[in-house]
Amino acid sequence: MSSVFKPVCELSINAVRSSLLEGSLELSLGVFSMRIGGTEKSLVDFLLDTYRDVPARLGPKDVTDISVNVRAPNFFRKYIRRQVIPDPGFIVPAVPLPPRLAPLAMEMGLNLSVALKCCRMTTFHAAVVGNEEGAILISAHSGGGKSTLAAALMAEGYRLYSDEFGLLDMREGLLWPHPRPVSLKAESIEVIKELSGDEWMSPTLTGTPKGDIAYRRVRPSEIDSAAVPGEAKLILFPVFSKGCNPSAKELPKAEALMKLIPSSTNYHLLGEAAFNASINMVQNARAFEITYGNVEDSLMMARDLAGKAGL
Amino acid sequence: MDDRINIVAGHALLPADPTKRAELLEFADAHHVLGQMAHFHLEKASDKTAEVLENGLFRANFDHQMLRFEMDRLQRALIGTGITPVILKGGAYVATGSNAGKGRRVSDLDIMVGREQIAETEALLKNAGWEFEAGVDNLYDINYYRKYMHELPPLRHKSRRTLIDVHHGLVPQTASYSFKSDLMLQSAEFIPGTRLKVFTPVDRFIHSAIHSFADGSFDTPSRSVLELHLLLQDLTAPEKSALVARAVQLGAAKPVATALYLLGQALDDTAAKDLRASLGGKAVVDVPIWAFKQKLLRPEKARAAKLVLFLRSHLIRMPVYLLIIHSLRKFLKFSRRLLSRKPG
Amino acid sequence: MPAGPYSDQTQWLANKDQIILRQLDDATVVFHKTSGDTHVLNFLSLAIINILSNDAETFNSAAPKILLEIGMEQDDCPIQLIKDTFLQLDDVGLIVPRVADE
Repeated sequence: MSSVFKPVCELSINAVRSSLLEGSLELSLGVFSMRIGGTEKSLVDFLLDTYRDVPARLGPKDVTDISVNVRAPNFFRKYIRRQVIPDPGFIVPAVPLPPRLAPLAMEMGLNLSVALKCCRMTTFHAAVVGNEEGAILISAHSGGGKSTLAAALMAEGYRLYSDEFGLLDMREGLLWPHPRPVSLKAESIEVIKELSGDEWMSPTLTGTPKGDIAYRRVRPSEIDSAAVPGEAKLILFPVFSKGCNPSAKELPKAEALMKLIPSSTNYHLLGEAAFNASINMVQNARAFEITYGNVEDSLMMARDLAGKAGL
Repeated sequence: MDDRINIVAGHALLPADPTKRAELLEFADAHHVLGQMAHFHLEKASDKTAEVLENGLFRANFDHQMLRFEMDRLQRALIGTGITPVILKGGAYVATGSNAGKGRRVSDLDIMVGREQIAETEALLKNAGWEFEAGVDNLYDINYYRKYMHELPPLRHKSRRTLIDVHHGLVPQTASYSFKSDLMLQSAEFIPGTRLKVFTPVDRFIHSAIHSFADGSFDTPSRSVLELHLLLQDLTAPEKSALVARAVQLGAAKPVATALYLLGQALDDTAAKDLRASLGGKAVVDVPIWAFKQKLLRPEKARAAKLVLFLRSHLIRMPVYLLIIHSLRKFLKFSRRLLSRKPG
Repeated sequence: MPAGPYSDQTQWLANKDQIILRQLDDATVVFHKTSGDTHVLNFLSLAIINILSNDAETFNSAAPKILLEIGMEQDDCPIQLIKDTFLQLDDVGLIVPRVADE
């Protein structure tokens, strides 16, 4: 058992496996630390591959922000017609999955934990990328295309903060990274493979409740920069409409705010502090709704608007 | 005796060993007492421990703010009518600044009005935007509630989606025992600056004991024991002296004796031990105490205990013939409600 | 939808201590501390809150002051619209009836 963090790839398979069995494998990514437990081989393989550069610690078990145990839903399913669910330490509506999809269960558990458990920062359903000048917040619900656009912007050289959560610190008003692998679905998988290269993509998980899913690995440089926050300079609301012409419309700040608020999992919970931080963020950024029919168009518009916003 | 309850109640420090500490924090979170634990331990905590405890406090404080707004809206709905509901349980603890409210998770607003005011209260709440839930809409359920239960089915506000439970008694009318809830209503005091009331501190302890033990469901034993402990701490010396006599007067000697016994056992609460001694032979501790202790101390392994408690709780509430008619429907509803239940 | 009983004689109040007002370009956004809700106020709602935070008023006593505040005539802003807005503000708790002393 070690107490020092090392990239997962520097740990032995057996050490990772037994640490997972004990539920003491700890990962650290930006503002959140996570502890993972599980017995499935698919989970071990996924961590060794897609999380290879993420700092990890084998144990002993310590206090972490998040803790997800991927386990059988009940006694029988541990042995007969085996299934797994994510157990993040609180009651969640979880669809049981076959053991080969244990990585998906883990990712779901981690997302649910960030969304529902962590209250330190105002949390928006959004992808965030950035450069030295600042950050772009891409606000959309699940399946709304934010992950694909974020991955495309990564290929352009932007660094990933997160493909799922915009984390706004309420004291300094900055967005903080939590760069987990980017989840991509169906056609987006091929598009991003073409933009970034096969070697950055995990094996595709087929037959999930949401179709095919694959994960774009996060780069070591992004993991290293996970402790560096940024100021939002551009807020995008992407709207996908197959085959339509690309168009961008600047939004009044009040409208941008009122669109962001319902996308937050804890805005109401955090009250006045969230109000002030959100207003300040919207005050200092420009907000656009972009309508697009394919990834290339959304990327073109994002690039163009980022330039206008000084990014 | 399990150390965890003592730590949660602030009688012992958080474990120095990080693994034990991590496991305790997870236990507290799963049992919805993380915020209450934070109240005692946040000051001395650091790093991730402090952040995890803070999560609990944020949530509890939000609950309190929502509940206070619901009480504000309740007064608005009853303005000028002279109806002054008594706020029960969590709402009362938060409104009175009781230790039992600090860091505590609360959800639905529980209120009590006199039986003769129930119809008018229901009408006023409906005018102000509350309505029965879709599932309970049908005649059977509403009549069941009106005839046999001590409360209306929960009312949900149309736009805020919050719930209010309106009681007119403490236990179902079909129960095999009864408490003099009218006396408790009569002694209720105003919350300063409002048109709402709460039970006296002594009655609040007694009500908590009734709620935890008499109806037999024992849903969250750690929370119940913690609550009783803090409510007992709220009582002044004269109030403690008056507790036993009042319990007897209200017909609540049994649940109060059970409460005092468990406080003595789980938390080594000397005040509780002394008071129980003065109850003497008047109260007999209930048989399922072993089941309660199992659930309290070894919740992961308490399967048999849970079954006993569930059956018992139904037996207590309804005579057998009604139970047979009702059981299948209720079991299905119960499972559904359990899955969507928030702490309260 | 009213949040409770009221009449034409009801005196309404707004409490500015309970709200935080911020301007975003030409829109007014308000955070309501009591409810934790965030609203965008139109100019009529803002005027109502301003008038009612000075003094408790009934619909009828407030109306002329509100019209003056927003610089409109009754033809452009009928009293029914003002009443409806009162009830919307009542629903979210931004204004409340003054409790009669008993």
